[in-house]
Amino acid sequence: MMDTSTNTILECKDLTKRYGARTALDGISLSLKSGRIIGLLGPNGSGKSTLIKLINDLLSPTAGTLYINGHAPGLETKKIISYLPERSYLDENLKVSSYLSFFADFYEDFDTGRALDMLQRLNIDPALRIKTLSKGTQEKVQLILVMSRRARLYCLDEPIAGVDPAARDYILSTIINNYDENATILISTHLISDVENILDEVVFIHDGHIRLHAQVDDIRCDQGRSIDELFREVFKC
Amino acid sequence: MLKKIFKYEWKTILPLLLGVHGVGLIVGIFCRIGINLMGGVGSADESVMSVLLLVAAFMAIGCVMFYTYFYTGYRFYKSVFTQQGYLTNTLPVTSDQLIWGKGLTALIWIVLDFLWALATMLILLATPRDLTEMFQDLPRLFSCLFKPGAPAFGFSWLILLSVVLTPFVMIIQLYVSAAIGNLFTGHKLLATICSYIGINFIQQILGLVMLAFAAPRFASLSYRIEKMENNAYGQYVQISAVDILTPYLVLSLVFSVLCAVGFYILCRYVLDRRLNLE
Repeated sequence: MMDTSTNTILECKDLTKRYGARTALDGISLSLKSGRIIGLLGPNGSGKSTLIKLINDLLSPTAGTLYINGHAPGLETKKIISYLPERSYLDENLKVSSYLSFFADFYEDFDTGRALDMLQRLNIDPALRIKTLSKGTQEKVQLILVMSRRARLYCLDEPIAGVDPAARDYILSTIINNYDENATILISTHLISDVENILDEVVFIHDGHIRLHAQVDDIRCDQGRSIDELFREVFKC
Repeated sequence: MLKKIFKYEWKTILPLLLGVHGVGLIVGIFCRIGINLMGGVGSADESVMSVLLLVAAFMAIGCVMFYTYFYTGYRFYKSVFTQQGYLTNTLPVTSDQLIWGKGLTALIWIVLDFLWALATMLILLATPRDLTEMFQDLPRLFSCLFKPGAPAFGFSWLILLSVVLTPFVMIIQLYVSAAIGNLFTGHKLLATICSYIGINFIQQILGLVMLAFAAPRFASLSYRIEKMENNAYGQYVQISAVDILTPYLVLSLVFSVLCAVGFYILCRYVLDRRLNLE
């Protein structure tokens, strides 16, 4: 267990993940503070999802160390991390209400009232089965479940990929309006222009290496460019 | 948390397995009605049709049992190692709780499945007189087998222990196959099926090796049969068969326990250290 006296929510050192001969993450070191919205930005296949899965204990690192709130990924970290995967994990035969009960049963920090309120605002009937909902609505239900937890760290893997602009606005406003100021949000995406206005920090990742880790305000002030412009320059083909 | 995992697993698989067993039971009842209308299996004119119906009913029972067993394994695979695993593996539960929670559900279903098959076979074959005789004879049978001092007392208990242990081994074998399948980069379901077949193959080989160890005891039986006297024939053979099979059964039980423990440790290790949800 690491020292948690500082405000660090996540710390990794020389973190490496290989899938056979392919290296997805190559000895990255990173330290993230609490109370920030951080964009994990990079092109497809850069290692964003791998890092998020390592944080959530869905993959085991090949080498290096990773600590979340002072603990290695495991039982303790799962209590404080709320994870939105890139793909849906909802069982299509179950009802939305079943998932509300499921989350309330397993996560002490789940706020059922908040979830019901968000569902009501979207006119989603909790009695409906997942399979009767459109793909976009299923994604919203999953986001509502994830954001209704009062977690310390939210890991959102490509939350706005594959949804229409109106849904993107809803998703981003849900993220902003439903997180505690002491919590940290790590958003992985390659759709920079849509998220850059809500970010405090950015981490550029490419080919398993961290290219840049900086405050958004610093980038804007020092370089006089938007994150989107900087991203296009760094990842120019 | 174990209770919660069990609760949700039970709720998820209940409707489907209840439906499958319900359909199986209806098939059994219809076959019995058909057999009765044709005068029964033993009747001279309609015996072919009656036997066909009986075979169909037994095939239905076999299919339901086969489905139940593999469905519980598929549920574990699907909820832990596919997209649903993104939720299952981020729940604040230990791998032990996960394996036991899901395993207990599977175990109960396998026991219920066995009782269901027994009930369906009775519906198919038994007459009221058979049932009365069976229930009258059951206590006598149990006392003959399990009462201290019974001729095959130890052997009967070993058989019972083996029957109790078998579902545990069957379930954890399915789970470890899924865990090994998860280690592969692609075609995980295929890898799971191949792992299951591979584990079965290795178990069969080791079973044969154990049988080879027991072979000298069989040779000893032949020698003793040659030497036995006519008036002691029945008793002598009975005692000798039990005598020979008991060590083999003990060996087989120890092997099953070792397999179950080994599979459990491997499954737990994969969940804790080698989870691979790419």
